[in-house]
Amino acid sequence: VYRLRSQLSITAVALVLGLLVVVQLRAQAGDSGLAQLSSEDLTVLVANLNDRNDDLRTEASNLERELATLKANQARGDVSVDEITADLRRVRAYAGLDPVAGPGVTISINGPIDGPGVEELVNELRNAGAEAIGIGDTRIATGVVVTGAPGAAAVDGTLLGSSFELDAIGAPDKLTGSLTRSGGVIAQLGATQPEVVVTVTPVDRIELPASTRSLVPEHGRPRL
Amino acid sequence: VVEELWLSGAEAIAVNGERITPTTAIIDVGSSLLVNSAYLAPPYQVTALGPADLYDRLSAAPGFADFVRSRVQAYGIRVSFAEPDSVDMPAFVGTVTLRYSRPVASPAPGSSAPPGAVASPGG
Repeated sequence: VYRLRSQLSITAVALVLGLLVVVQLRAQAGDSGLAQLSSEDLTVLVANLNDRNDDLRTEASNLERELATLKANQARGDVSVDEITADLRRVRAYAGLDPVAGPGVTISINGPIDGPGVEELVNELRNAGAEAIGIGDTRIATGVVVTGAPGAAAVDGTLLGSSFELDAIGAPDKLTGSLTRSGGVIAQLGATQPEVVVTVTPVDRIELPASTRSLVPEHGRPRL
Repeated sequence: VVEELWLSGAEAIAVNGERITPTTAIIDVGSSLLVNSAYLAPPYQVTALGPADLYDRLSAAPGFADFVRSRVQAYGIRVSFAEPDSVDMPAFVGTVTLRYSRPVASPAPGSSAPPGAVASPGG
């Protein structure tokens, strides 16, 4: 009986060990895709993630402070209209419902670019941390997409023509660096659409209009 | 796909649970995607909320037809659809605080707040 028991426990240990080894090997074999990236791309990724972590840390401490204020107010029985108004304004600026101004970049585009080309620039701007983006007089809010064949790029039904500007608010050096790095989006556009000339200029202050869209959902209902 | 859904009248879109916001970039990282600072791995599920004929509009869009034709054959991607009566959209979990942007005076409702109210101390 004693022998049987020791055999059983050895079998159990071997089984668990085998499982662990397999899991470990599988995990190491799993390719995250990061290995295929160039060191330049990885550097940009890491820098962006670090920035976002910093943002979130700042946000966390702000929210903690806000929570403390709100708790104190609640204890006193205040209804904090100022807090709510500030929150509302913050969300409206983020969503594109209010005009905003700040430092950023102006991108001059000359030549017959197509809609997806402009979308690639917009996507790279967002990746580099752009907070608000506008094309001509149109603010890029959710659902605004640039479409069209080369030379007929249009946003919200308005043709952009062969010479227009794309404005973005954010850290000017980061936005410029991200767009113009070698192998970046402008380099790629230069290869696929060589007759298009894209110039990035850092600016101290640009102003972006509010979106003219109604962002009130017709079909969606908030779920709390 | 996300762009075609917007053009087809979608009101809200999420990719594998990451809500698409005005500042969301979708970045190709080797075999995965980076969306809102989250790494997503295939299979990708794009959820969209919109009018009842959203799918009809999407499938009628030339851009979407091109997308399906070019990707499905070239990369062996399989695409499937469902039209649920109701979809649940996750909320964006990131920050909506802008570090560089300041509001410009506008006839916004409740404009009694001081202009600096939206400014975060981040910058």
